[in-house]
Amino acid sequence: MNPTEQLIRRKFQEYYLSLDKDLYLPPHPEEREYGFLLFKEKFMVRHRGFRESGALLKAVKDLAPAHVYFSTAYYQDPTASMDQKGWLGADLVFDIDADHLDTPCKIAHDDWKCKGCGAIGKGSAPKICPKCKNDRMEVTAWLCDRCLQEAKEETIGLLEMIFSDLQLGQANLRVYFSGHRGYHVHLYSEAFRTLGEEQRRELVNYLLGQGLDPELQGMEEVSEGGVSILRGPQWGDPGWRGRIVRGIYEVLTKEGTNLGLSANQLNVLRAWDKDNLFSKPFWSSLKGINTATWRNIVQRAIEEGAAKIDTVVTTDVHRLIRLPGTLNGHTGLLGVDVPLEELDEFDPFRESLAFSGIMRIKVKDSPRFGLGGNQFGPYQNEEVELPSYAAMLLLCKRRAEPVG
Amino acid sequence: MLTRADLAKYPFLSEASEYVRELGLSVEELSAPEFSPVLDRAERRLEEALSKGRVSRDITNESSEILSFPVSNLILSLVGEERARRRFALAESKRAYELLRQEDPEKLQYIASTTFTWKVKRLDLKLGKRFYEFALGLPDFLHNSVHLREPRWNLPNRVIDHGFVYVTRDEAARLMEEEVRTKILERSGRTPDEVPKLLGSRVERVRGLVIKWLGVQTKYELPKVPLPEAMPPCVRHLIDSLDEGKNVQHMGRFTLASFLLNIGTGEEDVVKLFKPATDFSERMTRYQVEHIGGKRGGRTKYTCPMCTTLKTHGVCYKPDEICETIRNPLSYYKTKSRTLTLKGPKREPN
Repeated sequence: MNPTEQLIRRKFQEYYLSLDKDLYLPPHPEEREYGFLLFKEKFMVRHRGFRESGALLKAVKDLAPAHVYFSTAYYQDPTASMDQKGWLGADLVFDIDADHLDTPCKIAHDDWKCKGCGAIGKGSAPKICPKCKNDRMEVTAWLCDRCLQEAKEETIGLLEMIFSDLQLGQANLRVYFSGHRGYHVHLYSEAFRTLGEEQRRELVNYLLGQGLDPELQGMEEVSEGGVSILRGPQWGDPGWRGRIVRGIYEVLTKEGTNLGLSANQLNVLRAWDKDNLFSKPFWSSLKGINTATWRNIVQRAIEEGAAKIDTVVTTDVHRLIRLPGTLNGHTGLLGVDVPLEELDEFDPFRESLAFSGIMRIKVKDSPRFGLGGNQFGPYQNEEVELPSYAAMLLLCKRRAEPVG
Repeated sequence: MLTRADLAKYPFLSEASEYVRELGLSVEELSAPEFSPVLDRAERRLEEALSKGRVSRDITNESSEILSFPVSNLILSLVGEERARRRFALAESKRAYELLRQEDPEKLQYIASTTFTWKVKRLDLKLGKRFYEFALGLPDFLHNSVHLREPRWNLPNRVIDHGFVYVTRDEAARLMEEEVRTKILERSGRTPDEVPKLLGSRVERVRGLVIKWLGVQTKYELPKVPLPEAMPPCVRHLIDSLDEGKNVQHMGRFTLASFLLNIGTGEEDVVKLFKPATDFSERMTRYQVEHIGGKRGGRTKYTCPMCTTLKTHGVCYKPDEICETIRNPLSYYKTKSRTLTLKGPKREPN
């Protein structure tokens, strides 16, 4: 461990030792596997089992790990090796992460470096290196208000889709802030527990609108009196039918003029009765949009309505995922169990702070950032005294080092 | 709700099993002459399935229709031929589908919610061109729809409302067919505690039928030396891309390595393939290849990803006719290498 890691680990341990309440445990804690990523050599301790919160907290206090995980899966014997565990089922889990969102601020605060040729750039890492075509990138991501706000909005969109399409109740659903760049949604449901990877992939495709055939969702071209007109579902139809209509309306009213609508057509559209959006006059008022443009508009409407989840997390039925109430080693912030009714107001930059007191550190470079209601930076090669939570963020992000 | 005629039509129902149980017949008692129609029908069910892939729907004797079904399953489990079990399950489920699709909605709902324990709601709703009569619980729908390949079965193309998927009556019957197939496959796979002597000759006769209609099971082994001509288009494309020094992304590399290792390619040969890659590191490549082969890390030998996964990641490349029939590149290889080495396709009765 280098001095920075030693300091972070010491602070993490102090935090856990000072905890006077039990750690949060997911339902059926005894059927789950737990894992700890240690600071020392980034070693992963896996296949651990705990029956109750006290024993888990004791392990966390002893190990002072950088990350604490639990399995979304339930096992007969969680401590056995992978093929001996006896898989019983897994929670349905969705991950929304700013890494997968295209926020305009990334260009200002994210950098990437190609592991192949060393090329560097700003913003989201490209899929493949423009220089050497390598696909392995090292990303330095900052966490900013805007990204997290967008992640929260996506999460709220996902929840709406879950409630309206996938299930009725809210009772067995929990939302966790990851302590870094996103949110996890866990569905603890008996009925969904035993779904395999294939079935979960279908759910992912549904939420993303991937492979959606507009014709099978009711968009059709019919010929009436020799004129070909479009027909479609209604605004309030369930599932993707209604979602497409609402998306199309959104796209057209936002960018209608770019898509070939006249000012007059736009006015007609804006005054339109939404409950009957796809009746014939609606379409006849939109003459002049060719089929290719339509296809484009529908595709945009699908993107508009999709929930941008990370596909891998949902389809993996053996996944280890962060335990809320523990520290995230990437930031020094806490993973937080956010009650649904408080999600709207939840401010991750105030409600995930773990460290109090003041620390003196040497900052290499840091953009301006807000945390705990205060603004900090930017800093460039300077020694500063900061509230511990801010200092820990910079240390965890490797933007700063201990003094002396 | 159900009559005895219904149990004869759908002998997989819980009520049918209950009916058989209540009769309290042992297999030995079935040897009495008055039960020979039952044993005959049991054997004929199997013969029809093996020869035509369909089990007849005309019911002359209701009790032997009900009683013969568990006997057919018992015989099959004693024959212990997976091919025959699959064929029987398919034939019986097709029979069920043909009958179910003509059934009135109340009965469909009853069967689905009792024997299958599905969540089922009645609907009476026309959306566009489709008339929906049922809404099925999402997990119940998914467990069965994933076996069906037409685009209309893909979840993004369905109407889902608060955890329920809208289906037409015919679609409900089709999904029930899948459930029946899975159930029968499970049932005929159970090994009975003891082998009833009486069934000995019947079992032998069915063994003969299996050979007559499905042929001798050639335990087909993959060629010792990997056959490049038998590899699927995606794998050949990956090899070509590497060869031309193009970059192949992670999922492509993983697919290639896991595919080749699974068809018996030596680790050294796999490592060599990656040499033209711009970022080639022999040490890293060897480590990763050994990891995929199960010699390192978790010690799991990885199998090749499914075609659906490859489609999602853009690895699927110019799928051909064989691709239509398989779900994993390894099955493609198995099918094609069999054709190539046995000169001509295996006989598949239809």
